Amino acid sequence: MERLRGVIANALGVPIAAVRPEMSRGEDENWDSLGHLRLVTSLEQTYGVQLTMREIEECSTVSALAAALRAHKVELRPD
Amino acid sequence: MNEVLQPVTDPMAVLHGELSGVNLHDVALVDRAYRQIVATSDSAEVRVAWLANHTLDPVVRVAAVAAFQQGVPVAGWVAPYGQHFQAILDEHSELHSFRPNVLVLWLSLRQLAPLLVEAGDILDNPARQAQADAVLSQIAEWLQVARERTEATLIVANFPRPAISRLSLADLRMESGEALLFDNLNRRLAATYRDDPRVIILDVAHAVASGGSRSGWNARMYRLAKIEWMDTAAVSAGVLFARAFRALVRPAKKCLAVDLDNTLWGGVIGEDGPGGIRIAEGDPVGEAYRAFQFALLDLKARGVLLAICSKNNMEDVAEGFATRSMPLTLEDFSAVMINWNSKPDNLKEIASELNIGLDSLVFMDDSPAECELVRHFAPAVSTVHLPPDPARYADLVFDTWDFDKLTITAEDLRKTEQYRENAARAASMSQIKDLSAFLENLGTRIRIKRANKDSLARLHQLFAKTNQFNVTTKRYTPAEVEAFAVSTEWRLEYVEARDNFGDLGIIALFLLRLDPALPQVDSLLLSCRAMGRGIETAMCNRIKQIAFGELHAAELSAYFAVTKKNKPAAGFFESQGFDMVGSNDGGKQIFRLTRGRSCVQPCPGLVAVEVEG
Repeated sequence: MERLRGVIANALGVPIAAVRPEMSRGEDENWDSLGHLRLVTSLEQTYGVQLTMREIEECSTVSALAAALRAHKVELRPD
Repeated sequence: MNEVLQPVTDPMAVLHGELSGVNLHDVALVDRAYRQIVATSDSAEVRVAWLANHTLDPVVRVAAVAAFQQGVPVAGWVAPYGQHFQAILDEHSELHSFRPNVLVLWLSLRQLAPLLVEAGDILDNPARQAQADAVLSQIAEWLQVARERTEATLIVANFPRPAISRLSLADLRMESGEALLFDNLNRRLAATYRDDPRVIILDVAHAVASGGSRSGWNARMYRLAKIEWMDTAAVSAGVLFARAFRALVRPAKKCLAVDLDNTLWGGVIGEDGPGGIRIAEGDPVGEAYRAFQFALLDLKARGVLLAICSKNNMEDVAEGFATRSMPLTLEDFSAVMINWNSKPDNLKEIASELNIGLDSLVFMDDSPAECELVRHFAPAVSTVHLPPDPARYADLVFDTWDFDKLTITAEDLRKTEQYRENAARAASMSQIKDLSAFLENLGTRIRIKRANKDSLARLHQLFAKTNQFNVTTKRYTPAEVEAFAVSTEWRLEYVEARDNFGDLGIIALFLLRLDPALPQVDSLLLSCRAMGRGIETAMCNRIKQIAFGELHAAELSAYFAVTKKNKPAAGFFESQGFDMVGSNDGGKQIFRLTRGRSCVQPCPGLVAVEVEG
């Protein structure tokens, strides 16, 4: 998940060490609602997938996003 | 001990270097750049408050980064969603403490009138018309509120058409067609505010369409977060805003100097001969160069001077222009430097001949070596290295931000003619040795008038551009100029001049603070082409008349702020009878004139002085 954590860190402007699987929306001031959309756009650009409106609304942790990506056939190697 | 002193590096210059390569289409890079810019933007000269009924963030970010890349830091504040009225009406709102000098209003028609946009045929024609009228009324009301309660320049976005056409093939044939709806709305918006110096209607409709509305329309993001435009459409719109912000604070460059060989035509005229250069219709390469020449003529028609800076023999060039049919002629150029001297030196000559600063010049050349030389030895010039292929030259001219102007005045349209008249005046000067004989020969007549609506754009231009004969070099925004013109506490008057060679137009102004106890000259400036005739003396006489004759004040005050460029105005107040009563290290000289010691100074260089009002 190294690459995924890097993409998230970059999109949210936080250090990569802060990106743990339990990290959730609203915890960091950069991960507000617009930050969330920027993050989603960044993930979609990086992995070439299109998340649905439901997924975007419901995924509010790093692990949930990873699960959604896997559901779209993205291969994420575990750390 | 050897201690090496490190040169102090300007942090903004460092940041500018870092961000100059950021690709505006990369969302993550733009976000990161935006955060860096925000951290440094407290003292930015452009402060924009963004107000909208949809989510503008992608556009706001691109605009800030694009403007920064072009040397214009922008500070931004985004109003809470849908609060475009409240943010201004509420005195305690953050908008007012942010002190914006620009307000942007972008109303999404889809959000404002969803039925009209998403199901227009449900409504009958009167209902559609009423909705369109209501939208324009809302904008008019907002502008009224913004005008009264802020000092900012007001930018209003027009309406982009939806990417997916509702009526498709039937659109142009039906009254409910989108083409008709959007054309009417945008046309009415532009026409209503065309002559309003404080309101700018920004053609985001064109930017969104040109950037790509189908790829920019993200239905999912719109429903989730009301972001109507993303991707290339947002980049295109953001860049347009950046261009507008820059045009508000940077004067347009006055002159485009071009090389000749492989720039205005294909080939080298000294080697290929006039018959061998490629500039003919029917020749694809020739047609690319012709398009470039037409682009230059287009710029010239809007007030940009053209100049040639080429290493060639004059005879070869003259023969080329004379024998080959091409859009440009030698007469289209206000300055021509065709010789074997260095181009940086030639460009300095051109600037001097046209009486403009080097920083008012744009230089285009296909030679990388020449461009590098100019960048090194004349860095103030804006150098554009033309790529090897001429196909895009014409497009490049119009994509250049250097000539952007938010308003084109009647003065601008006469620019090349004015410089020709000036040259005629300068030529006549060499025939007359005596100054008074020369001035008599010139026959200058002036009229001093109160500032009115029609003159505001030109007065703002004078405030922005005049550096040499300018006693305080104060700069004001169009909103401030308008406020001075109508205020009872200020008097803003200007001078129109003509002489025997033609009409000089509006070439001087003064701004007087009407404090009845101690009126003060806030600004007094004169365009450099009108110096040396006594016009400044005539203005000062008028100021004295207002201060002592109208206000009956006991004393008149003025000050002179020394700058690098205003040496021509040094000693002005002394020459008008003022006493210097103080000065400080910062180069500010303070003057007073008492009523008892005031007298009208003669203006022998002027044939007639008329004062209106």
